[in-house]
Amino acid sequence: MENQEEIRIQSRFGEQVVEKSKIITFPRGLIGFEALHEFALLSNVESAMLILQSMDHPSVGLLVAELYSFLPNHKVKIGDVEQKTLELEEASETTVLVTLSIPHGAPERTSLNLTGPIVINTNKKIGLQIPQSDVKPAHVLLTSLIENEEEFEAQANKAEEKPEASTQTLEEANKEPRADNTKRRTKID
Amino acid sequence: MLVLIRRPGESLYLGDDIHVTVLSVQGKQVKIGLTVPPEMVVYREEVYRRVMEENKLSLENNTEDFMAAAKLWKTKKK
Repeated sequence: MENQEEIRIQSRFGEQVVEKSKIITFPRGLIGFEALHEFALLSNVESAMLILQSMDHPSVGLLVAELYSFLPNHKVKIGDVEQKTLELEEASETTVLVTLSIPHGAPERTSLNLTGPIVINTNKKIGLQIPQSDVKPAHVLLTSLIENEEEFEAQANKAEEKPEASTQTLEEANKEPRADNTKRRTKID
Repeated sequence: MLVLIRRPGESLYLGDDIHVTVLSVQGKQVKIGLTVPPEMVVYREEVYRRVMEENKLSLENNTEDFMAAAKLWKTKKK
């Protein structure tokens, strides 16, 4: 049943109900969609791939992925002005999304676009797209990450073998690298 | 388009608070210094265009392909 805390919207997945508390405000919109300020993250299956859906325009639903689920060590540069816009503080939690390129009929060749990460202040629900001027490579094929997975796990296991390591390192190592690193603390210099 | 000629070291004001200085010219590269209000963002055109293009393409991606990709990844994820 619909109540005042929820809004029914039309999306790429058809009709969806969005809790008002989950609406993300984009003060500057998204690049190319500067007039749209309210979005929600929708998902149909449990996955790190989501749809960033405009609350106002059913056709504007960007296919995105949680960056740190796939590239836990990738650094996104956030300038001073952007920090202010996002109201980020030292310990603010952020979610970083990147758009996906999915070749028609070839979902296995999906890649992440790293030039325009979308940073969200998780607690305050403020979002901002922050173009990065010198990201190399600009795209990462997901299959290339799967090939690196064994190496990734080998590293995690190595860390686990050292019981003397600091608690924080251990915690990090024990984390499922792809599943649980989606939210992390933003470091502000 | 307004066209002006400036030498290295010379500058322009756009309105009261945007100051553009030509710092140096070396071969095909021009080094430009910008002083802009703190809330103003400056992007290199090619970066801005690429992001705009990728945003638009991610809308046009086929929803079925997306669902397939999402499921594919879900099975890869433990």
